[in-house]
Amino acid sequence: MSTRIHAALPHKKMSNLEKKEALTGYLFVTPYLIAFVIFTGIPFVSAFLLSFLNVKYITKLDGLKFVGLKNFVRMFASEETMAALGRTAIYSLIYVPVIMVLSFGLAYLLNKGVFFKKTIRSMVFLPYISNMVAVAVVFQLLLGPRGPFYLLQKFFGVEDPVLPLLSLKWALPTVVLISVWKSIGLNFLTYLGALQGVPVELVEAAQIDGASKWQQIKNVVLPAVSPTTFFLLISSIITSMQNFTVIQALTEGKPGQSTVVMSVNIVRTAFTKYETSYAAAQALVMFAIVMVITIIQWYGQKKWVNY
Amino acid sequence: MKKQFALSMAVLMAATSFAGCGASGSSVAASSAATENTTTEQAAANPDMPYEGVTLHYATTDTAATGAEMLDVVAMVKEKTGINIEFTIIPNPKEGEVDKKLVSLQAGDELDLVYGTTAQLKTYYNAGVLEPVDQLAADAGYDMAAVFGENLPIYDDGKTYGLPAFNDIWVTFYNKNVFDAAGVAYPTADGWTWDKYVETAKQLTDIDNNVYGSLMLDYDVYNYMLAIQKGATHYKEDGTANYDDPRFKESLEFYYGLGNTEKIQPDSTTYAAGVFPWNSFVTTGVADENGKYGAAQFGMFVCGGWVASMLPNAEKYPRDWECGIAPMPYPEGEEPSTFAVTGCYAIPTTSKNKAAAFEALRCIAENQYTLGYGRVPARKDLTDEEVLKYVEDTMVPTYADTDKITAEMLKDAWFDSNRTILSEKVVGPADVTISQIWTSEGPLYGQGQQDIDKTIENIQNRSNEAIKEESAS
Repeated sequence: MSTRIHAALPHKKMSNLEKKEALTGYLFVTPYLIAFVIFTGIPFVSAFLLSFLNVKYITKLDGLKFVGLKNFVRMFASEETMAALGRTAIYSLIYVPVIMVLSFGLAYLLNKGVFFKKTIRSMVFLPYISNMVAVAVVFQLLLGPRGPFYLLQKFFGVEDPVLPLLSLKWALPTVVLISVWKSIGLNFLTYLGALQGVPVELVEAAQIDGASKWQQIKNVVLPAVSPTTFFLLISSIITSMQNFTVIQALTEGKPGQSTVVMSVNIVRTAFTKYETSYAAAQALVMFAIVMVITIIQWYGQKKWVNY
Repeated sequence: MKKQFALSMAVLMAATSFAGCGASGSSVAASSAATENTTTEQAAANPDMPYEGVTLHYATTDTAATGAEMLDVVAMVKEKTGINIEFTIIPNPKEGEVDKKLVSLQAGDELDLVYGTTAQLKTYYNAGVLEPVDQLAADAGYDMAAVFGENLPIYDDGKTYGLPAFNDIWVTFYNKNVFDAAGVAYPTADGWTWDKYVETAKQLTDIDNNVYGSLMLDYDVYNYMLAIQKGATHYKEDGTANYDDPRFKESLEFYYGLGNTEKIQPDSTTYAAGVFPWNSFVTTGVADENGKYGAAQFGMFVCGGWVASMLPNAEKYPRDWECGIAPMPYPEGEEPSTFAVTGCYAIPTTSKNKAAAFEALRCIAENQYTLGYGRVPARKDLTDEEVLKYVEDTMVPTYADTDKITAEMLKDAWFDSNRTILSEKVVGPADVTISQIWTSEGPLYGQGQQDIDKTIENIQNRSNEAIKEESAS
């Protein structure tokens, strides 16, 4: 609001009080800005520049050359990198719908009168604050050849029991579901807050009009929480691409290459092959993909988000 | 009042964030100053110890830094040269993880000594973070070639980038208790072929009682060992991958067959699930009053000589059985062979005390094996008598308390000049990537998720793509 007033009255001199206010504002954002510039801004600009160069090891800059789009061409010509990009898409295509639907469903149920509501809410949120390495160890045991999942399959007479984290077919979906379980707490909590803000009178009006439960959710609750859904959709897509930790802890990209997604591929390119420029190009492409998806959603929101 | 409070809070926030940076910076500066003081080369009073009092920084892992061997190395360097060594703890990377030591060196951290195998140091050389030691040796009047011969880490530019301290040679470790219980004779060097190994392991295996005749880990080398022992090479003459050579297919079938078909060792799936840790051979524990063990027992373990350094450590690995050592098995009809990797020390370019570092390097490379940790020296200047004396006076006493390993066993396993020594690691274009390809594709065949032909095809194609990518970059 304050910005608009200043824009409308460009020539008006700022009073001392306004100057003080502005100064206070700048001082508050300064620590964040400094950290942002150092830890995000400079690395981003460096990555951008590096992607057009031929840097392998950052200590060997003697043969430094501008190579134009060579690193990008190489990336799109590499079968392995394209396969990793494909796995990233699969990861996101499973992760985003599952976490959105489950977190909304859980929040909707736990927003009602349920026994041990607070305990259950805490249990849903607990994985979010758990250490990923500890989570990985637990799941490796649960899903391993001496774990309950394997023994249960044996008990029910499955001849060739599946070890999900060691299976070419099941490793990626399993990792995604573990990731959903780990991250759902934040989405759940955000939805819970949004649901508590849905006007009761609207729901009651729908009930009086004879709307079924599903119709109430579809026509009243979902439109009312659509700004939250929009925010969570974007943040979940971004989170789905920041999956290095969960994969490194659970499968290290195995079995075979079945869980090598772009984040793993970028780290391997940068730190085991030491192809710094090539890794930077891959990271930039990932950035562009997230950016395009976000822009599309931003413009698309007018059709379904109600503010 | 509210405005003033907000303003002061904002100033406080900004100030503390700067103070945070400042504090950290000054701490680094203080530490750097301290480092400078301690590492400045000092004119020594003792002419035999020109670098006495100099402190060097050695990058190593926490495990190594707290291990008895490394502490003895530090004491030895202090005694022989007067140089102090301080540890800079940097964890070892797992497969696919960042090599923090290399990152640290690329970032310009001041380190004076690093350890690595010849293959690992090649990556450091490629990164330009290693100092060639040829001039340092010349200045010290030291003939490296005369002492270490072909074990020296000489890379593409023909320069030497460190000194080798020991050779890690592959052998067969065996659990005498398992052999005695099965009434099977201990393995000997004569005709110790893979056929004999498998036959022996079958006699030892008793899965119902959690006893396996054999144990192998998940290293890349197990996948291709038989092929290399049969004379296959990783690269064709034109520089492309050679994995379409039928010997590699045979090698994969052999290795995974040991667990899947012969059932003499845990299969690949069980091992990949982490049921048996890498040190399972020595973590058997001791038998209870009924003679039962809480953990699995393994009759034989084919692995690098580094395993021997765990044997005397009864505190960390308590056990009630003796371990024997035999050479590595070789394919029937072939000449005896084994694998080896050379452990070297090198000086990073960031060292501020290169001459002193070379003095320490020389001291460690020449003498580490004498400390009694079962190391096979990388020195080529030792006479047969000196080797024999070392084996009898140093190596045998090392294992005297725990395993009673004889001088004959040690000589057969580690000092047999008639045995061909092969490289444990892939060495050549895209070697690190090729190593990862073996450890990602091989187990797919081993775990029944991919047939052998597809596995070999993937290894061949992916390796060729990696070689092509590396040459194009």
